[in-house]
Amino acid sequence: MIAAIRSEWAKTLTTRSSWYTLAAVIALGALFALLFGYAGAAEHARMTAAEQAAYRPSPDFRPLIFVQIAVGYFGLRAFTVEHLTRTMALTLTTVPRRGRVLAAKAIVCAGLTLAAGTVTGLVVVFVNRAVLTSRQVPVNTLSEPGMLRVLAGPGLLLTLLGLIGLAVGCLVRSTSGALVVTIVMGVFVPAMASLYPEWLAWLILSYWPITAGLRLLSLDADPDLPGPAAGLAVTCAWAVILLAAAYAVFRRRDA
Amino acid sequence: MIEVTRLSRRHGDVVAVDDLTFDVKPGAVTGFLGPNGAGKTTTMRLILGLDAPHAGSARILGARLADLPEPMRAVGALLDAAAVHPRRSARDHLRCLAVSNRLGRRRIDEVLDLVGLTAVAHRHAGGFSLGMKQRLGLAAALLGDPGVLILDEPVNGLDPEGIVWIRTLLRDLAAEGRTVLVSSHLMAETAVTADRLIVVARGRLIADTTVEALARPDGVLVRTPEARRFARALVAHGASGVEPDGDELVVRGLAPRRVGELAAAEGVVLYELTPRRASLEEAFMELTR
Repeated sequence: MIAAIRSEWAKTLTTRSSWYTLAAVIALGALFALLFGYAGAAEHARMTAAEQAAYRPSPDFRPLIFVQIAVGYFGLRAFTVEHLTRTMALTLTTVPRRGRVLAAKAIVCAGLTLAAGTVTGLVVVFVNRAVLTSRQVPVNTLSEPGMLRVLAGPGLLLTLLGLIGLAVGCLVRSTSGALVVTIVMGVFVPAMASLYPEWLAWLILSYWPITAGLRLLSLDADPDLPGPAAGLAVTCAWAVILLAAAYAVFRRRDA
Repeated sequence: MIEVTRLSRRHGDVVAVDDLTFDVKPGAVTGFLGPNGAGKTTTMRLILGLDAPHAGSARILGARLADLPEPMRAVGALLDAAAVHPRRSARDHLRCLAVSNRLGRRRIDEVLDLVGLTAVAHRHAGGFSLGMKQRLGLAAALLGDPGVLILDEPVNGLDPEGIVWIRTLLRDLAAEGRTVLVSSHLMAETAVTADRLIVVARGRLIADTTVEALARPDGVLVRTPEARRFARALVAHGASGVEPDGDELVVRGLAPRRVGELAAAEGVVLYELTPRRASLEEAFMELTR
């Protein structure tokens, strides 16, 4: 198993596009933290004095909507690149236990996305704070309860979203197809929530991987939505179920 | 040792491999021959556990590939030389494979040297010619110093020098006691390298034979200015089917030595006396028709 992990590790690190993708994860976080920071500041400036007085800051993790696509792409590539370059046959003649190949890919993906995701989370929080503070918009103090969870949480959430991407890549096999699934799941479905009937919108907010996972990063305690732990558990369950489905298909499929 | 037992595999309605049974023994190069689409590649993929058979089984060293703890040390395979990540260097390509079976850097250098890619090992494999990719694929197959080699059309894309090189390499590997299975759709090429031949067509086993048995003697070619007279003399001594064509005769039913003796006895001048062998390509086409 260790040898299989080392092989997947080497595969990931010896292709430049892996590095580009991880760099894109962090860069997208910084870029959208900046954009949403200025947008948030402008919104705050337009508020009436009463509204500003009632304003309660909360960390803005909307950049993760975009970051998750890059993370999902990083995950799905672990499989789709091997199908594209037809090296899967070579991989499976050297490591014929398919569960082992899937596990090794998942572990390497999780390790790297945890690192890149944690950095991205910190970048998003601190870039956003810097922009808001420079515009005299109040921000959460770092000593606020739950702040540690907010700072450490994005890495965990992005790791799970990377694993979901990896499972989708295994199931779909083609890069473009898997990317479409990732974008539809990650962006389109939650973005259209306002168009859905209320019950469906509530389901999406509570039980869809990205929206449920974002509850982990929320400081408000909305009684209608899952709490941080429950939200994380939902995203975990998605990752586990999709990885199990990927294993069930990958185990039997012609390579 | 590879044992294929009653192996069958369909692709939709098409039967790719049909109740195939054969053994590949160590210490010899076994040619796996058949026209395009005969099921050679599918059979190799079934042996390697890449595809699942609908019936039957394939064993390598008595086990399924998935049951071998470090399979590269037992089996080396080259199925598709073009299957490399185009932006990964040749050395990194081999390193990714080597670490999966705990093989060290020294072995990577050894196989690079063996296939003659040391000088270009740092270059992206995507820029390699097909011949260089074949060499890289062979290096990957040899990484674990395996006792069994399964190579699908390894000669494709090699230049004449490369073809001679791979022939020698395969024969040396077999002489060391390894099991070597090499597929090809070219009879003549395979006959030079292989000792044994397994011929398939439409997924079925057509022949499990040796090169000598296929290339059986087929008459004696004689050229003489007295073709008509000599033909009559030959027929009188038991030859059959002697039809002069200009100054040429093809004599069947008499050994070359007997033909020479008769020529001396009859005082016939000979320009040429050549024992003929059946054309392998014809034998192959006859078999796979």
